[in-house]
Amino acid sequence: MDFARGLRIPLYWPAALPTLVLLLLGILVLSGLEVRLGLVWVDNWDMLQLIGVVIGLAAAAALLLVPYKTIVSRAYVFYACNMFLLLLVLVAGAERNNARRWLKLPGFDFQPSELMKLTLVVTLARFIRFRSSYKTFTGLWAPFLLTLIPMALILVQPDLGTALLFIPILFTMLFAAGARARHLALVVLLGAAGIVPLYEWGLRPYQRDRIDGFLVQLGLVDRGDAHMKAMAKDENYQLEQSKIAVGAGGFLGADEGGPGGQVLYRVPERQTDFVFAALANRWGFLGGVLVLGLLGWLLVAILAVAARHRDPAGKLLCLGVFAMLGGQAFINLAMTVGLMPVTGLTLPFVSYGRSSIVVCILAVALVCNVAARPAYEFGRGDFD
Amino acid sequence: MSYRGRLLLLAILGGLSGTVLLFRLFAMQVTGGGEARVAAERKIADGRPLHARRGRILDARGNELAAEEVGYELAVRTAAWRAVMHECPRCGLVRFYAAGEKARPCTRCKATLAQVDRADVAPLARLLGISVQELVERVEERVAEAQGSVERGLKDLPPRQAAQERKRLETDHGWRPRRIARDVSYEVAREVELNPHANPAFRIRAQHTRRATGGRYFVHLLGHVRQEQKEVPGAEGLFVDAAVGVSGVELAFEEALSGEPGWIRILRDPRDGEAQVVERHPPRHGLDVTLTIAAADQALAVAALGGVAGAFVVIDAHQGGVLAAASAPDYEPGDYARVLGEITEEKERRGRWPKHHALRESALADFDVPGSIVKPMTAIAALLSGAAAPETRIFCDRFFRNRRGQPLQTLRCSHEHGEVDLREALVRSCNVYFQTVQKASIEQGRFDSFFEVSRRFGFGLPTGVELEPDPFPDTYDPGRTWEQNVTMAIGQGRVRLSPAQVARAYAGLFTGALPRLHLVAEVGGRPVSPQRTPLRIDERALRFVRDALEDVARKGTAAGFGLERWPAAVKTGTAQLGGKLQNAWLAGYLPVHAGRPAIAFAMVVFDTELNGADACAPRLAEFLRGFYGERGA
Repeated sequence: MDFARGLRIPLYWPAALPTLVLLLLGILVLSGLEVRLGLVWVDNWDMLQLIGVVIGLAAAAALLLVPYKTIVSRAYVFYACNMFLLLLVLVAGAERNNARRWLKLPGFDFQPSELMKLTLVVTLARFIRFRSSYKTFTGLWAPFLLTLIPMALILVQPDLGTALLFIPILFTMLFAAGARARHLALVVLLGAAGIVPLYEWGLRPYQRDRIDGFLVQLGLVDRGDAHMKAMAKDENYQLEQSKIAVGAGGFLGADEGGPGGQVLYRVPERQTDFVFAALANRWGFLGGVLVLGLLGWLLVAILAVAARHRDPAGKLLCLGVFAMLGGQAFINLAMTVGLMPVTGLTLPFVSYGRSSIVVCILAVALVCNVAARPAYEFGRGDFD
Repeated sequence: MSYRGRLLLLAILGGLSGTVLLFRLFAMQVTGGGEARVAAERKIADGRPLHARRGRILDARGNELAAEEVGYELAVRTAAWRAVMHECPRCGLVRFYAAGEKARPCTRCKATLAQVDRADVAPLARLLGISVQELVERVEERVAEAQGSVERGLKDLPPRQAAQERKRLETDHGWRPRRIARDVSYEVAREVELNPHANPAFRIRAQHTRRATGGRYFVHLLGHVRQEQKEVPGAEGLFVDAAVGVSGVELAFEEALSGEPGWIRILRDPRDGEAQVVERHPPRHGLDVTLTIAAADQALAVAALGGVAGAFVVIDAHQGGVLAAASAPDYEPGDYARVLGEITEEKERRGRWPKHHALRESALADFDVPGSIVKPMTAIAALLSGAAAPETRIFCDRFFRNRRGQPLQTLRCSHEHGEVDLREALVRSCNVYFQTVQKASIEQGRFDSFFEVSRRFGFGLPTGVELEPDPFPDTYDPGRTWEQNVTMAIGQGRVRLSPAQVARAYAGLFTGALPRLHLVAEVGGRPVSPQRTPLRIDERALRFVRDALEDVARKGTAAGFGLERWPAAVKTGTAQLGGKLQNAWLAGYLPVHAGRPAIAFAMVVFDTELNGADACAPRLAEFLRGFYGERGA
């Protein structure tokens, strides 16, 4: 702490502490998923994650040194740069599993869509801070446009999970900033009307299959149809394995060598999107509650900053981060325990993925930045 | 709503979401954790089928007639021989890649696969008792064989299609285990099974072969089996090779003989590779089936037939157990495929299946024209209906006359019997007498009585023996014409009986009750209880016919063949088939004698020019000599 003070890095411990604990838990979980072959460690996710954490913390330290107002004031520049990166991904991105989401950098692959989440928060904060047009129905088009353009680019990659996360960020920031609830409800209704065309023409076949599989799992679609049944079996494989792995963890966790522990190795992407299955399997219900508690603590801390800070831009930044981290965590956890269809979203701070970890640390750093700096006296007050 | 109110709403929304997740987690891990652990165990543990031993078939004295023999066969998968093995360090998944090809991550758990270095095959060669070079040569022969199969499959295909087909054929032929040594020792099997990493290309195939020690004597009765893949009950996706009965007792008692395969689930600890059985469902082995036939008696019956096309069945007259059931021609059990090929060839040549061939079981489940051996039942029907009395005399000038008074050339007597009464008609087997009586019976409206009596003797009905066809064919119909109904009296026309039906009818004639025939005395140590159905026929009528049949061997159609040495009551029959060929029959019974139970029997020689007595009586005498140990009365 003294070291931080010495460098004048403004740390907001109520948010920083759960973040650091979650990062540590993530590395511990990932280290338990490794296998040693002779003298060689394979799949050393924990070491790779540690590199990501170090990069993230370094970037956070740098971010904390810059006042958040400065960041907000350059929001459109960041937005434009990030849009360029998203376009670059579509042209020159690395392709994996039929998706083009990564830019190859020396040492690691960078995912611009992850950064776009934070960029969007900053951009919307910048936009909403200086306007009140969003309080009319027609005035909503601009923040929606700012959100839908990157969403569309990310959907093309395709990365449905990340793209869908933009919606709670936008709605939370608008709602907190005082946009009329009925206007937002009307937009939701209009959006709901677009679900069927989106399902039919906007989604890739594998995305449709995931949704179908989820509906079959919930019993909302007739299992009698042979094709649907077969497809659902295939699509629900990951989810079924995840549910078994979570359940087998029991109260205190499963033995790694026993069947309950070994079943974890059948969960695809257990180090990334399904890391909570690994955590709940290894550390049981207690481990799951610990993670939920830490995430809750972090989100409450962020809300507390948003509540007491005087500067609307600061409030909006906190609320955007709240929606981003909260939404991402909820979707990921709900997906892992079978409450939502499978989407490619990581669990903040815990899942392996260096782009994701860096962006999540930066998000908390942004909150710390806001918390540590008093509001300008001439700033607009609360959104009342 | 104020800003703080909106924040509170967001906080409540977040809190609710967290609560939902918490409850879900509690339900999955705490209340539903046990179920998930069971599901995990089922998914993780490798299933292995456990073979159920097929039950033995024993003769009446406990001698083994068919039993399962276990042997091991060493095979090689040529594709694996040429490839490098990789194994998943977590889940044990094995994949083969061509030398130099990069292994892809495990498809189950995404872990990096580790290359497993192949050990040298010297220990295996030593156990096989051959040199390493010889073993490698044998494997290379199979490799060449597999390649040859691929090339043959690609022949005549256009180049583009051939390129597509090549991969499929190479996979198909390359991964199919090809035998390189059969009947290898248990030590070889153990070496290959316990050291899969050292011998990744080799496979041990357990061969559960059915050994038929009963040989040709029992070939028709026991039937044969074929190897089939059966799914192990309760273990989804596990299959086991098992012998399945195709005919004979093997088919009729399939359920008892086959048992039920079991299975185990083995869990391997990825940390130390130690395996433990976590779930065990032992197999239920097949039950032994004991026949009512003693192998020695069956051999006598087969010898008595002497290889001519025919059948001979001997039953316990009271209990209904089959004591011998021979069919000829027969074949060695191992020759099934060859015999079937020959019969098929003959069918191709003639345009129809041969009538009496080696694969046909004729004693118990084959039906043919019985001829005069049904006359005792006709006599009883006539006595009971009043169509004839013991003293009714009819003049036989060889020819029976139809309703217009014209003599019929067919079904005439072999010589003129003159004036005969019922007893004499039976002893001398006078066709004219019985046709005349039947004619009177029909004219007096008493044909139903004849039919009823025939049914009581089991004509047209299943005998109960386990090899009978299901559904049972009704081969005893009332005729469509007057002539047909008349000729039924002498076992011609629309009458088809199996030797087993005839023997049972004679057992009924002797004992007054119709036994249910059975070929099997015990299943898994539990005896089959005999059943009998009383004939409910006037004992005086039965006794009259019995007396007459006793005379047949002494002074009737079967006299002069040595049958009088035993207290046998018999009846001969010669069923005319058109042309010179006829079915020669002999049926009868013997009371308890020389420590043997009372027996009933029926013998038929198919498509012969001899009459029933000439064709069958000497064969019966030969059988009885052996059966009673040469101790004639």
